[in-house]
Amino acid sequence: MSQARSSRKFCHCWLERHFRQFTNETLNNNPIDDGSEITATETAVALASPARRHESAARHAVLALCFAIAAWIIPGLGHLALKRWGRALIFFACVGGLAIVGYLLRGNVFPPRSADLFDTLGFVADAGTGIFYLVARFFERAGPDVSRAAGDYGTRFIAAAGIVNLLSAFDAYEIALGRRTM
Amino acid sequence: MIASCAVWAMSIDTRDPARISHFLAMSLFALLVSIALAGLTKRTAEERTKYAVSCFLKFLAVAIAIGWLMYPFSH
Repeated sequence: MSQARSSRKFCHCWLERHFRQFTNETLNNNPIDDGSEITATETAVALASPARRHESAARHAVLALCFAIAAWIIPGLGHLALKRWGRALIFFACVGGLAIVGYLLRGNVFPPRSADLFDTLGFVADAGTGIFYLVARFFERAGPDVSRAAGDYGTRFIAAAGIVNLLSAFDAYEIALGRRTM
Repeated sequence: MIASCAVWAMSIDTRDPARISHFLAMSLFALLVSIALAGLTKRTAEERTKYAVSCFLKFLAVAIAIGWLMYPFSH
């Protein structure tokens, strides 16, 4: 992230200096001599920078994807790796709380394979909880019970936990890319 | 928020945690989702707290309002 920023800053300075020299020499016929000549190395680096920037951006995108996957598997882990302690704690507590309460209320945990489209959507939402999806059987030993309102609430709790965790994974991705400063 | 958590914790039946009132289940849902949204959208602790409290109260207000709107249909 800091590499991409410094590269962008360098290119900006390089262009600004070139523009200043161009306006002074060409338009005002007054060459500037501030002791900051553009060296051959600087020019070569600046000319090669688009390719370098592209390569750096690709590397950052892959790294950001790794943070997002980490945030999905264990809620808060992506933010923890990015040193956003507060957010990591908030997401782990909220996603974990929603999922565990959902299991205790005996909400429905959708299986990976189902013929119904809504069940598939339910699975996507449930799988969003990451590791909490895998521990569903531990908390819900008696199985789901949607014959009571509490069971239905539980289903919503688990789905909400998955959605919140997916949002947190996107957030970790954006932070890792440097699109979000907070 | 802490009070609603405490009430929920006290009212929970350890033998059957599924036996909680609808209002407490809804309050807990509102609380956790509000905190998550505040963490996601706000930067400082003060902003997060304000947003979480406001979001939690709005969740409750809207749920109670919709509940009363649906009340005539249940009779």
